[in-house]
Amino acid sequence: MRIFKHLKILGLIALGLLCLSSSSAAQISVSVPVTVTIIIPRSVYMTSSPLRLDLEITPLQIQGPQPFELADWHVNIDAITSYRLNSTMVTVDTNIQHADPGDFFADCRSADDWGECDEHISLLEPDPGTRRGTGLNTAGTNGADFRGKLFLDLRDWDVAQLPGYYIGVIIYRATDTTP
Amino acid sequence: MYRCCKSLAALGLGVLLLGLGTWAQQNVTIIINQSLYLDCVPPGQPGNITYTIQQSDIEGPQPFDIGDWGCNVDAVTQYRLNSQFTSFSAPFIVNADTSDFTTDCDTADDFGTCAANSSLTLGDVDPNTRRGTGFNTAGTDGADFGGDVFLNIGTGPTGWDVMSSNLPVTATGVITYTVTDTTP
Repeated sequence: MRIFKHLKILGLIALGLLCLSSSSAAQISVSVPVTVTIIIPRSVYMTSSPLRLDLEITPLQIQGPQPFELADWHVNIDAITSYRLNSTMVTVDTNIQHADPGDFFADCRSADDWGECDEHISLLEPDPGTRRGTGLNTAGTNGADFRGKLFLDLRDWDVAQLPGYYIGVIIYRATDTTP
Repeated sequence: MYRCCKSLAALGLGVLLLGLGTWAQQNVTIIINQSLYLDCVPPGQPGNITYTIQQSDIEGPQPFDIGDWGCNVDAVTQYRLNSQFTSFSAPFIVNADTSDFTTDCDTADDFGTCAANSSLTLGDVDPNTRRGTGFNTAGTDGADFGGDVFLNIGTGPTGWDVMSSNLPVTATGVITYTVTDTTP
């Protein structure tokens, strides 16, 4: 009688093991790894417009308050990083005495797509005096558009030879500010 | 009832053959060591993904397509196919995470069916990571599942933020595809 009882227990254990093995069989899985590599060769793209400004000083501008509005500037930035936007000016050539980049100024009036204007207006190094604004990742947008005005103060200029000319280059630079 | 009658008939036939004194037997053993085979790497499949982010990807709609995936399943069981990141590294990209990647399943044949879920997130669970399900594929070239992998680099303060002093920077991860027996 005891033998039958033991056999019954053994049978139950065997059944249990069978169930266990069949349930673990249902969990059998096979895995394969696939590698994903994302390469970012460049984190900021920038264009500026207009590319060239040819301006002639009028009597009205000489008579009016200084500095006076010279032209618009516009920069578009596509970024996958946080950045700041600076603009600086260098003189290429001039025949006007005392004319230098310190006579030019630039403000920032609007910025979109995570861009923000800064209040500084200098075009002479260093930052933050030359900072036009800051911005963040622009993905999914048409890029952050920064816009502003360029100004000129003629009060120091002394034209000795006509036509007087000043040729300069404004450099826009976006710098990564990721901590 | 029919099965019972059939068994009794076989038994009767056996007894009859024994009685007649001439019989033979042939033992047949079928061993199935593996019920699922999975291939998601070349040849024949898209395999590893290497993608370079261009300006047009930053300007364009998010998420954008970074590559195809494809898996071939040979099965003598019913199964589900899952995929998700099992490792990820982007040391020079702030805010980069596996939840920025998603996927879909566009095609499945030979008794395979696509699922509508898109998660590839590390640590996420089925059914969010399920790409599809299927059945025994015997007699076919295996169930081919295929789809795309997408990336959303975010925007603004929560978007990817590259440490540009380390350019070019890379984000690298491993997506693991898994087929699991779903026989009840």
